[in-house]
Amino acid sequence: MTAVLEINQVARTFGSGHTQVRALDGVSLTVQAGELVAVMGPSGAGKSTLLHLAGGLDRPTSGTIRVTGTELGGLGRAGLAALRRRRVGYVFQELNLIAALTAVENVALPRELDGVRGRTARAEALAALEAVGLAELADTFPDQLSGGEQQRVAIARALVGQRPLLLADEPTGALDTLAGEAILGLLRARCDAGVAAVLVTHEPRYAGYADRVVFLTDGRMVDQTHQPPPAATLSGGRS
Amino acid sequence: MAATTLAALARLAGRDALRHRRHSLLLLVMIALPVAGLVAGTALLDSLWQRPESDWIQRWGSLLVVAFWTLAAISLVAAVLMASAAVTIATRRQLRALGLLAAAGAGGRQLGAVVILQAAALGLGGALAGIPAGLLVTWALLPRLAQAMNFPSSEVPSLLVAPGRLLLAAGLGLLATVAAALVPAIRAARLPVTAALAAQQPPARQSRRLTILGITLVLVGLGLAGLQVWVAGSRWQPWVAVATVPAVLVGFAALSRALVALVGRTARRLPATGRLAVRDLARHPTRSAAAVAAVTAGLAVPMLLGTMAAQQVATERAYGPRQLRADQVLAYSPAAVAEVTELVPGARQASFTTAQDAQGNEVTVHGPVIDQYGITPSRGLAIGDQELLVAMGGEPAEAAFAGGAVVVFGTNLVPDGQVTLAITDIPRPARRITVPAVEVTTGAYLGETLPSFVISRQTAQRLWLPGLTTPPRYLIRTPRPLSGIQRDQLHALQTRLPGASITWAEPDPDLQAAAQGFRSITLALLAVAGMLALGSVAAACALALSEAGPDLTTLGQLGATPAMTRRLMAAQAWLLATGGGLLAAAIGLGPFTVQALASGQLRPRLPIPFLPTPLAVPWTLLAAVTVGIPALAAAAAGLLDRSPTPLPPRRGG
Repeated sequence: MTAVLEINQVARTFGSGHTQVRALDGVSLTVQAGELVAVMGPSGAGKSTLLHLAGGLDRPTSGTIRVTGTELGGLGRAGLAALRRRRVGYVFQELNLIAALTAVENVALPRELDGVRGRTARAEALAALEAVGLAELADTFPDQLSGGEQQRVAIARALVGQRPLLLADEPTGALDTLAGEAILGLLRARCDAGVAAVLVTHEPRYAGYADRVVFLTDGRMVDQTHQPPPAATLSGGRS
Repeated sequence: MAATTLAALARLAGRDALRHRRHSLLLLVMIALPVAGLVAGTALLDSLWQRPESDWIQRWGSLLVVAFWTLAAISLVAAVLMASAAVTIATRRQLRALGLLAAAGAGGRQLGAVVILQAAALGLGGALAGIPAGLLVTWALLPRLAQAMNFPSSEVPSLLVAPGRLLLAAGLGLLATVAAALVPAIRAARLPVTAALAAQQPPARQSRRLTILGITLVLVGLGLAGLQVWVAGSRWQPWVAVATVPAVLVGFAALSRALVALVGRTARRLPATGRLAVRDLARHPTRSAAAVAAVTAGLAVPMLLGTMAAQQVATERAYGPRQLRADQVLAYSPAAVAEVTELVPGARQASFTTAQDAQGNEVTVHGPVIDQYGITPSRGLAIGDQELLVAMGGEPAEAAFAGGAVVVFGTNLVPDGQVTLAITDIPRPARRITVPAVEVTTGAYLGETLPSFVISRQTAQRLWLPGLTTPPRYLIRTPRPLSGIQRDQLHALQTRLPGASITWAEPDPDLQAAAQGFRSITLALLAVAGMLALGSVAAACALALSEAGPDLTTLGQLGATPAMTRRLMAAQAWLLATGGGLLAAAIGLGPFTVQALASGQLRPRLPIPFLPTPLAVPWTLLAAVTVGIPALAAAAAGLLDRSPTPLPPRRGG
């Protein structure tokens, strides 16, 4: 298997002096193509920080991160931006859709930002929306969509352009159970198609979709398992 | 409302203003700038008017006063519009706090009071900051202005500050802020508690009534512009002209929200950056429309003045007496012609005569139209040959001239390829003759009057003009405009040979000074209006940035580079300034265009012919308003933008 994401002894410190916070402390993690890794842990454990570093949104204080073999520490601001456009898809809890753009325009945005012609980007975006079952709502604005539909648009945006790494930061946080299950089913399907994904979640039921679960506490990886959490905590998990 | 309640609300408003210092500072500056402008303007006028006998003040004083108060009024309107957008955004930010207040038992009036108190406090701060800023500007500008206005160095006026004016400026600033806060305060007072707690404000929509009012006012304004054709020359004309501008301006301001929404719907085919910029503007019509209206208001004044000046020049050119150009000399004897052609090598000369009646008077030719005062201007009718036509600068009409047409020098004088001349040659009865004609427009006109109509000798016979003619005169055309040295030589020739009667065009210093003075005022107004427009666009961009944080963060997360987000802000600034500039151009050109079109359309239907109004477009000014200032705004917004990093604010996890 090919390693898509390699995090090696990464630490991240915020602030200084008595306000200093060590958000991550020597975390290592490798995610292979087609693998879905769930990251769990209490609030303040460093889950989101880990995702920010993996996606090139932030830089580690120490340690190295590679995405599809590229060392992020060697990239400048423009290089990191290009990486986010081409290789990393991000899904956020707050959806982060741009309200002024329609669903298809939101999905096409990373491709257009990457210089792809408008017509081609739209065609790719429509295909991505088709994949998440929202092609018929392509020209709808985000505020006319339900929370679940908006999150599916966000996933389509993260997938467009065949990006190999998908990072999802509590993508079901704002959704009801049914919509959450649908989103996780979708993520699982994309991983089965070869995408590597890291899912931050509080919910053991959603972690049940993952191939592997890692646990973070106070910025340290304290445990990891290749077994999904007990079946009692799942309701319609991986099939 | 009890004093303790008011104090508690004021404390709440104050704390929120302090928490959001950048936004508060923006509102403060929005009020401080027009107050500073008012203070500086009134203090400068009061100081300069200590020397009312100055030539400059005698000539331009009243225009300067009108222009200043017009700009002052417009900058206050712009400040109200922009401050209203800023207060709306601040209220949106405060929604949850207002909802909590309402949940705790605060009534609608109390919620509205929070909004007004916060705005009033910042407005008062802005007004107080504007006074010293304005005085500082006055102190710096007064000596330079006095120098530019040619005041003798011993008579440079001292700085005169009237406390009443300062109070008036501060009061107007405060009033503008309270006026700006009224609508957001009313909306906050009427907000359902649950919606406020969820920080959701129903979107403000363009009311149909406002759209209808806007369309009506624009139509009324354009109608008034057309009405000027009927009332031309009467005592009502200035009032009709004055009423036209506010009608069109307020009409467009009322329509701006609908126009912004319309533009938003047409953005689908734009590239991502442009589409995002347009859609964002359309989604926030309050601030977009306010910025567009403020830019429009600022640029409409110089645009109107410039169009008015261009139209005056065009009218002069079209209907003013036909006069010598800078490359022509009129001579009254062959000897004079010989002297002049010796002085100016390469000059060509042609003789011409005019028809004479039995009493020895020149035949009077009227037409082809009657001017706005109901007078048929008498125009000279020269009889000559092709050489004369060339000497007069009428080469383009040579073929028509040879074919027997009358060549008319001017514009708008030949409708439908023919002209009707009213010929009076006593004792024969006055008669009207309609003949084929062609129009020629040539350069500037200065100096001695020349005939406006030129016909060949054969045509003169065909028209039954009297066979008697005046003694020949000679028109000499020099290869290039006469230089100062050549004009000096012509003066010397006149002194040496008093009999050698010659005339040429001398630059009129009064006319040049008048044109220069008007140009200076228009340029100064354009500079001030440009600053006003740039300030409005900057404020709108700052407001947009204060709301666009999450969207810009998302863009960063999706891989947008800082250059891309800078392009986005530049595109927004360009759109706002271009929208405002185009509306200002429409306001500046619209009334004159309607007047010109109406006069052209109506002319054949009215019992007496009259001079159609020429349409003149001040192209340089138009380019500055619609291209230059928007480009400047876009460049400034793009360069000054400090887009946030792609990292969202840190939360737990």
